[in-house]
Amino acid sequence: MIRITDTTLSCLENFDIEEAKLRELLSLLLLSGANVIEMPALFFERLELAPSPRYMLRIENPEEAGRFKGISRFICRKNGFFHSLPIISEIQVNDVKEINFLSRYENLRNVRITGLDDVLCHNYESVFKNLRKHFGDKVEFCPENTFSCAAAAALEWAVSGGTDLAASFGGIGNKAPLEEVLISLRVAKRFKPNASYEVFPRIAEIMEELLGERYPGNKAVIGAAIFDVESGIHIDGILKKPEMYEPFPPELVGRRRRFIIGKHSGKKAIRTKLLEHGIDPNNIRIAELLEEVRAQSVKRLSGIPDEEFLKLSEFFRRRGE
Amino acid sequence: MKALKYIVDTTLRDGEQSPGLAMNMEQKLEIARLLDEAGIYQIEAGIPAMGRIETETISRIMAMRKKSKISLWNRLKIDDIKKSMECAPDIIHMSVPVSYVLIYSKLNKNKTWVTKNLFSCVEYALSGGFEVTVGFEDASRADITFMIALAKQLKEMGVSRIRFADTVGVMTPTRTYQAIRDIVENTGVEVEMHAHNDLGMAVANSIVAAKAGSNYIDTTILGIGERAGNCDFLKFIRAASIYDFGVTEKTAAAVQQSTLGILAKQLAAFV
Ligand SMILES: [Zn+2]
Repeated sequence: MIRITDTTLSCLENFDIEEAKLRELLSLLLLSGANVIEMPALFFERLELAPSPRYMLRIENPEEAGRFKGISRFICRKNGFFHSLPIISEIQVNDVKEINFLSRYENLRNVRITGLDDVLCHNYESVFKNLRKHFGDKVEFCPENTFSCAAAAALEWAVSGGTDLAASFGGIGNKAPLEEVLISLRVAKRFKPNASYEVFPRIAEIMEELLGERYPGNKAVIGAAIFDVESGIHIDGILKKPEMYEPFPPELVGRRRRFIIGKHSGKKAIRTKLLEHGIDPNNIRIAELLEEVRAQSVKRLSGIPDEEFLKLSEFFRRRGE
Repeated sequence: MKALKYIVDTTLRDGEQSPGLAMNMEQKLEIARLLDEAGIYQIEAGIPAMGRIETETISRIMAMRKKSKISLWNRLKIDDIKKSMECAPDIIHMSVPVSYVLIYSKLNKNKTWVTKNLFSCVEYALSGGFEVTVGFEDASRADITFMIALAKQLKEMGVSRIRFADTVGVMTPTRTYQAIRDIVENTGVEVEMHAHNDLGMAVANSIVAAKAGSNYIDTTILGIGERAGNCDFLKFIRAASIYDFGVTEKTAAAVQQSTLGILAKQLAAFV
C-alpha cells in the first residue's frame, strides 16, 4: 500500500485565499489521488471542517494537538519525544551526507524526512533502506526539488518499498509535484488509486490564479501544451496509434490532443486539419499549401492559428476545370 | 578527479520540434554560437531533409563554429543521408525505431527489414568517411536483447555511439540504470542518453544513465522539446555536479539567459 500526503495547502498558508476558493481546492485535492491532505490547523478552523482520517494538520507546537478532537494525524517541525502522540516529527535532511547524523533521532517513530534533494546522484536504494532501518517502515519521505529530481526520488522510494510519501501540486514549496508522482506511479507501478486525474487542469487553474503566474506550457503532466503535436512524423504515428507518441492518453489528465499547423507539419497534418474543419483535402493543392504554411510559420516564429490556416487554404483551392 | 562526460545539445533539432515553435536562421546561428562558446561538446544542428533553409543554416553553423562537433539528424533514408553528407558535418546521426510498436504499427515493417535498412544506411555514411552515431528510437519500450544485438553489430561496423532515446518519456531511474548498464556491459559501446520529461524525470534519468556508464547526455536549453520537453540543460548541469561535463553552472545559466533574449517571442509560454 502506498499512502500519499499532499502538502499543497500547507505551502499556501501565507496566501490570501477566499474561503470559497480554498474549499474548492480542498475538494479537488481530495479527488486528485492523494490519500491524506495536509493543511495548516488555521485552514481547518477557518473552514470549520468536520474531522476526517484524510486530514493531517500542521501545527507549530505539539501542545496544540489537544485542541483538535477527532484528528488523528498532526505534523510538527519541532521534534521532541512525542511518539506517544499522533504527531509526526518533520526532520529536514538537506543532503545525503547528513544521513549519518540521523542516529541521534534513532528512537523516534512517526517521522517525516524532508529534503534529500541530491539522493538520485547517490546510491538512493541504500539511502532509502537506511532510513527505514532508522525509523521503521512507516517513515514518510518528502523529497525536495533543488536538483529537479524530487518526483523521481518519490517514485523510487515507492519502488524500493517505501509506503508513505509527501508531495505538492505543481511542486509548490520545492516539493515533488504530486501530479508527476501519481502518473509515474501509474506508469511504473500500475498504481491506480480511486481518483480522478481529470481534476488536474482545474487545480492548475486555481493555483495559477493564487500564484499569479502560469505554469510553463511544457510542464510535465499539467502543462497546457504537452499534448500539442506538430511534426509530420508524430502526427502520422498518433493517427495510427496514439500510444506510439503519447506517454499516457490526454483524457487521463483532463486534456485533449491538439494538432498544431506549423513549420514541421507534413502533408498528413495538413489533410487532417482540413478534415477537422470539414474541408475535403482533395480540393486543395496540398503541396503548395504546405510550402506556404512552412514559410509563414518561420516568419511568425510560431504555429499558424486555425483561422489563419483556413484563410491560407482558400488560396490553394483547386479550381474546377 | 570527477569523471569526464559530454553534453550533446539538441535545442536546434529536438528543441525546435516543439509544436508551435519555429526559429529563424539568425536565431539558430546565435544559439549555435552560444553553445560553441560555452564549450558544449556536440551540437545537433538540424535535419537536412527539412529543406534548403535548414541546410543553409547548417552550412553557416559549420562555417562559424570553433570547437563544438556538429551532428545532423536523419531518418533511415539514403536520400536524407546524402543531403546530410553534402553539409559535411562532423557526425551523421541516424534514428532507427526499435520498439515493436514503432516497427510494426508505424513503419509496417519487421525487425529484419529495419536491421537491413539500418545497416545499409550506416555503411553508406561510413563509406563517406563520416563519424556515425545511431539513435534507438523508443528504446524505453524496446526489447533489450534486440538492442544489444543491434549495438554489437553496429559497433563492429564502426558506429561510434548508440543513442538511447526515451522517446515518449516513460523511463524511471532504476529502469534507466538497468537498461544502460545492460547495453554497456554486453557491448562495450558508448551510450548517449536522450531523455524526455513526460513524467518529470528527464534530469534524474539522465544522471542515473551517467552513473550506469553513459558518457554522453542529450539536453536542450530550457528543456524545450515536444510535449513536456527534453532534459533541461541548466537543471541537468546543476544536478550532475558529481561529473565534469566541461560546463560550469554559471556558464549554463548564462547560455539560458541569452537564449531567453534570443527567443523572447517564442519562449513566452515557457517561462
Ligand atoms: Zn527526442
